[in-house]
Order: sequence, then structure tokens, then C-alpha cells
Amino acid sequence: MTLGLFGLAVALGVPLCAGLAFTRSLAVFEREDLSGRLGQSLLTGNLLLALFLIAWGWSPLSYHVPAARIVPGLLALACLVVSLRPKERGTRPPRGKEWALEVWFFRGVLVLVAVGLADRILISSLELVSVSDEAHIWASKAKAIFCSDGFGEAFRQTTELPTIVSHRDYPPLNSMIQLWSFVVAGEITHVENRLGVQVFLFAYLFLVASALRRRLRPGVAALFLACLGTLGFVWFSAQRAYSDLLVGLGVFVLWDMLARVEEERDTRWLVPAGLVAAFLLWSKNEGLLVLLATAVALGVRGTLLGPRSPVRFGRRGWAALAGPALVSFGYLTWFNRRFDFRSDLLQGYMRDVHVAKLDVVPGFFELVARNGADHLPVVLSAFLEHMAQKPEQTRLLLLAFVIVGVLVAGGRNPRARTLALALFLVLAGYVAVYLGTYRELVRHLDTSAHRLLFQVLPASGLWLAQFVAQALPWARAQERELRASEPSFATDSSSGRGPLVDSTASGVSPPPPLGS
Amino acid sequence: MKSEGGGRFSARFETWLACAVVLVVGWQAVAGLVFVVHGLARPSASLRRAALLAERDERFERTLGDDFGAWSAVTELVPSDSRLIVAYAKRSRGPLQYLRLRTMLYPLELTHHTHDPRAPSAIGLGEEEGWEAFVLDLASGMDLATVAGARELARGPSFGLWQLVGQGESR
Repeated sequence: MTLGLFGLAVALGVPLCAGLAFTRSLAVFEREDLSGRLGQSLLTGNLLLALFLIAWGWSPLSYHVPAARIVPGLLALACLVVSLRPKERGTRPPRGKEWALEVWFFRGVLVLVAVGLADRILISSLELVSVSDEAHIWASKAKAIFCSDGFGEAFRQTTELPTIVSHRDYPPLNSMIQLWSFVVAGEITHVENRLGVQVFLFAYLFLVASALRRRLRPGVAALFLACLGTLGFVWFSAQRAYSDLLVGLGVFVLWDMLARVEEERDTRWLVPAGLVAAFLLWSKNEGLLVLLATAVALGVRGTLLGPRSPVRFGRRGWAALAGPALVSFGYLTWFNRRFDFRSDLLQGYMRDVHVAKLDVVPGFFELVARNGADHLPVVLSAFLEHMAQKPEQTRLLLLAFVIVGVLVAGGRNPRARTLALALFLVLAGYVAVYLGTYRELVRHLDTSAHRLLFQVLPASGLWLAQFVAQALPWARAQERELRASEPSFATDSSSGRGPLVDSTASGVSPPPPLGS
Repeated sequence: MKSEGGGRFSARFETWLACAVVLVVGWQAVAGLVFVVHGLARPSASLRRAALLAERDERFERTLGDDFGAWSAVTELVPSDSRLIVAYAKRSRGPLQYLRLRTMLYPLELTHHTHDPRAPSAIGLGEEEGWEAFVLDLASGMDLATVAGARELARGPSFGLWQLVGQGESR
């Protein structure tokens, strides 16, 4: 390895400090929700660090000077110190009586899975980042940015070379996190660059634990946690720095936060939800599909419920939710156009490989029209096989979601229907990808279907947990009192419509929280 | 009993369904925890953890050495700021090993891939896509395994890797 202990502390500590500072300033996580705060800090901190490094790359400053690692370190520390003022949300009212043994069982499962993942990460550090997507897509792009010292002409020339960076149009979050280890080391690293991405495993684990514990009693939450923490791709992600983990994490957290808005009648959760929406866009192209599906599902629900909708986001709420994603989408689109990075999927061919062999290049939609009918049964069969025949990969969560989701489509909770609709839309989008693929279909499915399905697996688990909490009173977390006296996100002064949380707007009582 | 939201299924049906979900999740949770404990308890894993630091450097060497000869020799030969374009022409080694070579060499060097059968039979100088291509024809015996021996080769005045890299630097 290149980095010593101090270097590792800087590489991992700076994003954590930045994230802690930001999460404290949000003041939406309760003081006792340690896993939620820690997970959100890791997620947000790494996103902020990546944005900082991108801004640095556009500036005339070099990644190779000590200031490139000192400045973000000092900034993160300063932000943390400033945020230490008691701004955090207060302690919530205590839950009803819970069995101590059950609580310790939940904690034990959390610790066991965390230790198992740490062990796997340690073992994976024996392997260099030299094969598969982690090397050819993400690490290669990080190396190209580092060696080009930003996004100038050298970067353009490097990325124009064939076979240096695969899938140049992919969003840069993973690469920027790997770049940070290069910056800290002052040179290219071949192992430590994976660590920054592996940290998201703990963000995933902590945020899953927080979401489950919020809704389920400790024993049942522990069972869900053991399932979601031992998904095949989660453990694979302890060995390889793929971005599919980031997408799976983002989908889970986005829909968890949106559910919290309604469950707690508190639109302050829209701020972390908006950040996670942006995080999805920075993670991988599938993030855009997830956001579109979420928007459609929310739109359908808003149309159906109309004024009976229990929560009105208001202008500020919508701005908090959609603003970061819109800005991110604008930047990423501009960036790809500037460097002429195009999606091989939409173009219908791979740069340098296929185009020379084709007289006429069909686009994605033409391929769907041409091959869709033939591809559909193969794709559905492969998806079903992944869902049903590989329990060690999926823990059968996706299969259970599809079955239960269809059976209770007309069920009691409109919120659950919204999430289910969004998940089904994402799955439909993934099917469409294979209908229009220009690659050899079976090989494409073999190499990627399990990763795509993983992206919605954690959210499927969340949906099932919500369903169980709704249907089984004994499985729910103990009730807390709603904090009616606490201020919500704010009042929407711009629109003059009063409180964003308006449970009486329609003149009907709001539905009870899902877990109540 | 109809459900509150006007759904087609009774609350009792949903209760049974939720119980089934908990059972499946419980079953899979046990399987998952066994997987974790088994992974932590494997003797081989413990040994690997204990030997991690000692083994690491050797393993790095081996990772590369398996396919490409002595890595240290390559790094000694190639100045870190130079640009070496490597054409990998030995088809029998397959694309995966080429990809590993490419990733490891970059950005120490920019590598280039070719399957051109007309590649020179030893080390040659070519022109491709505007870049001077320093071609290593692995098929004809100039294996990177011999690059360890190429240390001597590189010192030679008339023929060798070092000389070519030197030309690359002057570009």
C-alpha cells in the first residue's frame, strides 16, 4: 500500500467530518439515531468531497500540490467545529417498553454484519484494482483526471484515446472518490482507492438499520437487517468498487426519506431526500431512471389523491427535493456534451469496437422495435431466474416484493402503492434496457442483470418491512408521540400558503403513520 | 372484510401474507447470519488476515508476475513520466490479461492494444492513430517475462526497450 495510517485517516476522515457537519446542520436526525446520522454523514460527506474535487479540477489548481489535500481537510474540520453547536434535533419521546434481549439481538446482528464486511474488505485489500468495471470504468477515469490534472485539454486528449476509459459518459462520483486517495497519496494508488467506495457499505448498513428500527420492533428489524446486510452483491461490493452499490443505497434512502416525510408529517426530511436524489444522478446512469420512476409515481399519486394528499410539499419543499437533482443533471449533461461522451446504449454501439463494423448505426429505440419481441421472453426468464433461484444473492426479497406487491396492489396504504409503483417502473425500465441492447443478449444479461436487480433489492426490502409493519401490529416498533410542538421544515412564506405540513387541508383526518 | 382503502383483499389476507413474509425473511436471515459467521470463522480466512501484511507485497508481485513478468523490472525501466504504448499481440493470452496489463500500466504509460498480425516480430516501432507505437510482439518470444532480463537488453546501445522509451520521452 502507498498510504500510511495518517494518510488513511485523512482519506477516510475528511469526508466523514464533512458529512457529520452537514448532517448536524440539517438537524433532522434525532440524537439517539446514531446509525442514521452516521450513515447519512458517510453518504453526504463523500458526495460533498466529490463535488469539491470537481470544482478543484475546473480551477487552475493542481491535484498534485499539498493544498489539494490540506484545504478540504481544514474545511471539513472547520465545518465540523462550527456545527458542534447544539443544533441537532432533540431526543424523541421514548418508545414503549422493549425487551432488552431483543434490542441486544438487533445490535448484535448489526455488529456481526459490520465486522463481517470489514473482514471482507481487509481480505480484498490483497487484490489490486486491476480487473473488471472497478478498474476499467471507475479507476481509469480517476487516473485520467489525476494525470490530466483536471478537466482541461489533457483530459480531453486522454479520454479520446481508445481503451483507456470505458463508458466515458458514466457519472463521476465513484471516480472522484477514488481520485481522493490519489490526491492524499500524491500518486496513483492501486488498493486504497477502493477503500473510499467500500465505505459506502457502512453507510448502507447504518441507514438500513436506521430505517428498519424506525418501523419494526427490534427482533423483526434484526431479521430484515440480516437479509439486507447479506445480499450477494453487498458482499461482492466489499471486494470490488462498483457503483451499483451506490445506486442501491440511493434508491433505498430516497424512498425511506420520502416515507418519513409522510410518517412524521415533517417536510424537513425533504432536504436529505433531495441530496440523495442528486447522489443517485452522480452515481450511475440508472439513477436518472430511478428519479423518473419516482417522479411518475409521485405524480400519479398526486393526481389521484389531489387535495386529499396528506402532505403538501409546497414550493420550498419541492425546491429542496428536486433542486439538487436538477442542477446535477444540468451539469452532468453539459459535461458529457463538452467532451462528447455518449451513452453506448442510446447510440446502439460501443465506441471503438462496433462502429467500424456497422454501415448503419441503429439507435436504442430502433433496436427495441426490431428486437423487442424476441428479447422479451429471454429477459423475463432471466429476471425470474435471478429472483427465484439464487436466494444467496437476493434473499428472495425481490420475488417476495413482486408477489406481495401484485397481490395487495389495491391494499390499504396509498403510500405503499406509490413505492410499489415506482419500483415496478424501475424494473420495467431495466427490462426495456435489454430489449434495445446492441450487445449479444444472453451475455449482456449474464454480466449485468444481477447488478441491475440488486439496485432495487434494498428498496424492495424496505417496502416489505413497511408492509409487515402495517399488517402486523405485533411487529411494529413501539409508538412514539408525534412532536407536534416541534417546528417543521418551515412555512412556505413564498407562496403564502402557510405551513408545508397541512394535515387538515382537505378537511379530513390524515391517515395514521404507517408504523402506527 | 374489505380493506379500508377499497382494496380487493381482506385485512386478514394481508395479515397472513405479512406472516409469510416474516417467515421467509427469518429463514433467509438465518442463512445470511450463518454465511457471515462461516466467513469469519474459516481457518483460511484467519490465516490470511494474520499474514496480510507479510504477504501483501509478495502477492502484488505475484499478481502481476503471473502474467507479465517482474513488475519491478518494468517500473525500473520506465520512468514515471514517460509514455509507453504497448501493443499486445499474443492472442492466446486473451483479452482479460491484456486489460489487466492496460490498467496496471496506465497511467505510468499509455498502453495501446492491437491484434494486427503484421506486428513486428520483435520490438518494433510503429505508427497508429497519430501515436508512435512501441510494439511488443509477445507472440514471437519477446515476452514480458523476459523483461526482467530486458534490464540487460535495455542497457544495450542498439536494441532495447530503454532506447525506445527514451524516444518516447522526447516526443
